[in-house]
Amino acid sequence: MDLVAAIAALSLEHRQVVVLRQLDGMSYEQMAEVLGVPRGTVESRLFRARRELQRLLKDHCQ
Amino acid sequence: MSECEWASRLGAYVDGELPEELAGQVRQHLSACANCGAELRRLERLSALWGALDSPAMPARALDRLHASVDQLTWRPVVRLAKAVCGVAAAVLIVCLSGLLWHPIGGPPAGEPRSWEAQAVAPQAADQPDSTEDQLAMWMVNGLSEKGAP
Repeated sequence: MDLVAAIAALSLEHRQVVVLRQLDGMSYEQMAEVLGVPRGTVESRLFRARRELQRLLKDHCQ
Repeated sequence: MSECEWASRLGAYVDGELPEELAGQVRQHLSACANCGAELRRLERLSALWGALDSPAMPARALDRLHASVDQLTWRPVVRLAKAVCGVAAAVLIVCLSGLLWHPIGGPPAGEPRSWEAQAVAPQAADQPDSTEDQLAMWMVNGLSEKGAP
């Protein structure tokens, strides 16, 4: 599985934070403002999204 | 085995998003926790993938579309207020013009819409993504729109 396919497989909430962070380079504060959620929520969503990406891309992350 | 409570902070640590004091505590913890050390290495490998794999570079057009969606969210309260004001103005206009309904001054009969009217309300074909990078941008735009919908 390549990176785009892995991103496509994420839930909407996880895909949002991954794309805003990795492609648009937003800070956690900016993402919190854009998404209308607390900064801690951004941090935990990004953590879980990366865990999911690691699982999906396990061949590349081991 | 339960997960270390520091594990969920490691992503922010790698991103440089933790305050220095907290980052120092994470560094101190990493010197003593093998599980978090392994998690940190996995995060660093994942970060490296963005450069090593077929990492999608967002084209300018897709970024513009994403930023437009963000701007729309930012301005939504203002737009709501403007709509309310327009609603009141429209009501006043309707009252003022209601007399014309009883005394029409002429004009084209109602019927088939003119060509420019049909074109104005036609769906825009350009909204279809034409690449995987565009598709990423469309996901975000659609996702943000759903999130911000009243």
